[in-house]
Amino acid sequence: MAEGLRYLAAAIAIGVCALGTGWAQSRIGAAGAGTIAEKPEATGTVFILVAIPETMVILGFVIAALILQGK
Amino acid sequence: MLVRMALVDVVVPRAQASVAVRRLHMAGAVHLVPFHLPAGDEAGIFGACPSTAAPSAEPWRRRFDWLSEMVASLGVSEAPPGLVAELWELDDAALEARIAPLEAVNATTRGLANDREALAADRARLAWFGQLVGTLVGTDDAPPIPPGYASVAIVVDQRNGYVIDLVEDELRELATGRCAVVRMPVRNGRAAGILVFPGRLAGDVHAMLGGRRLDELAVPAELESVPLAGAAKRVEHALARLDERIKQVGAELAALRESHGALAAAARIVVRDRLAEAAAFPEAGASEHLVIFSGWVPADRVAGLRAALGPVTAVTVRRPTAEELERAPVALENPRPIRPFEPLASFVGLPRYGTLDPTTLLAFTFPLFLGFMVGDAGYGLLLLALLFAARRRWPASPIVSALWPVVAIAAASTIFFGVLFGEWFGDVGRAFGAAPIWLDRRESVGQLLPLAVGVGVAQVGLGLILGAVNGRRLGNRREVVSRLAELASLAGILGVLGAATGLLPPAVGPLAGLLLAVSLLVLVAALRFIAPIEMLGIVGNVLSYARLMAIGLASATLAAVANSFGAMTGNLVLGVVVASALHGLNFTLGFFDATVQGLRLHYVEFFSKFVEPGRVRYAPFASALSRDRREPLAGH
Repeated sequence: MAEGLRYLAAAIAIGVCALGTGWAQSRIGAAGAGTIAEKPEATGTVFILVAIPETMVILGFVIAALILQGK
Repeated sequence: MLVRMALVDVVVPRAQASVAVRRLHMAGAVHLVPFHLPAGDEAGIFGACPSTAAPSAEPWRRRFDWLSEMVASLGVSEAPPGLVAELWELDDAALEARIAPLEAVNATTRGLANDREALAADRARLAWFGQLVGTLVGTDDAPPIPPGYASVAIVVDQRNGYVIDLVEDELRELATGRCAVVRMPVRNGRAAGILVFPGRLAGDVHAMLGGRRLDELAVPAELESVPLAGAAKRVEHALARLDERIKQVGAELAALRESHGALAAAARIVVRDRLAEAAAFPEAGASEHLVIFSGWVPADRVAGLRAALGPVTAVTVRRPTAEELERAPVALENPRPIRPFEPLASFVGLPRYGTLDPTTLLAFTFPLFLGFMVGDAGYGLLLLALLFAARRRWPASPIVSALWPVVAIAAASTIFFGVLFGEWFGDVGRAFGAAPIWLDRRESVGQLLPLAVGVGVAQVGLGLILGAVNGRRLGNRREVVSRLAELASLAGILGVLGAATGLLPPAVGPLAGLLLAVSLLVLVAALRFIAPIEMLGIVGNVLSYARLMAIGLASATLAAVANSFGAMTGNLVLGVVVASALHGLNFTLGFFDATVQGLRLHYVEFFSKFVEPGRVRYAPFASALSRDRREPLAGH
């Protein structure tokens, strides 16, 4: 039971973070595509803005790895 | 590194201004900026309009416009460099005399180009109509078009075929039933309807169709009263006549291109340069006797500039104000092996003049990160093979030439880490005795995670140190203090965590705690209320390097899955096909993702600590001739 809950916790940790990242990137990406269409020189800035939420899922992955490593 | 620049004032006698500008243009070294009187000086005699010292730009603009039109009509792509040089040396009057006869030729060229366009449109319309007629003639319900009747075809997407029914209803009402509509499918998933109606209603029918945004195809005038059965042949003849005429116009244009194309293309380049020279004057400073052009020059080219401008022109180097220094243009100049990485390093923006160039650091760490993430020797070799194939296939491609050093280094790094991890197309290499030299990624999450975060600590820490260095170079004391305080805070956090987890002696804990408290206080004093956010951001930045391990683990796992799926088929050939397809997917995803993530770690986590992006690129006032012979200066 405890083992199962551990796996569930790890899955939630990365799953919820991935959903959050996806949602944030969808909003930023849509706005960024519009920005680049009107101002191509902003491509670099938009690249950074789109990349920022990815940290969330990486942090989720770290937490999941820690949960799975912990005995 | 960033090229050291000098701010110069080029002072010339007003009477010699045009000649001096031409020499300045030919020298191709000065990035012109608007002239500003030194702080504290009165405008005084510098009230004269500099433009009056320049030849009028308007005639050159007009010549440039029609020469551009002529070059486009003739389809000339290149101008002979020798002819450009010859025209460039002419004075304005001689150049004008050389160009003038071309204006009459342009009138002919324009007429022929218009004819060619109109003929091509006619041909397309007729070909389209011919296709409709061909379809109609092949059907049993082809409507006869009696004398006095007109016809028009409408074309819609097949899924909107009901529109033709609606149009038919309205047409029947309009023509009180004296009409016919025939439908037929045509190319590209579209449907056509031919409407036949009394000719006197043509205006009403077009008005009815006009508001519907339908593609209308009127019957060509020459075919209006021709029975459909005979129309196909007539269309064929008309198309042949049009093709002949198009060929004739093409031949006339080709003859004009042969006789005048080179001169027009060369003259256009030279006239563009004269236009640029005239445009340089409005931003210059001027008195009744002098004109002054201000601009930035690479410091090692000042002597060459003086020699190129001659004795009547004075080039004075002056100390820039803080405001001028902030707006100084930036040119990157790195050793040849590093140069291919410059576009990647300046993708987000060029660093501010006077600060450190991040290109060398990126050239070192980006391939390492990419190799660490993909970490498969087989994939590295495949990338190398694809790179050589691309170089053979497109030897002159500027994209391949620009990318190949970066890709080759990344492939070498991938092979290196692949050998360390013992990965050759996943675990295929293991069957041939290629065991991991360092560690097995899929079994070593516990070792790789601290390693990845450790890389983050090192790179973010280095970024903070470089941020302090840049702050010192720019005389920004607050930047120096805040970056050093952030570095100390990071060290404090690591010390506390190390002591708490037993990695460091317990005695380190209180000391690290004290360091953290003091550095946070300093940070709050320097940055006020954004200090906690900055600190949280830095911790997030460090943890973000966990992606080095995460992406690598995903890539290694996918490669193993590809091999497992191949083995599950139970058939050697099918297994190889399945595994190759999955490895192809993993190869593409792996390199794409690793490139994006590797760049992101540099732009977001590393560069944000010390690079102030968004600066102006050094763009010298350079003529067509100087652009050809200018010594290579990286960054432009």
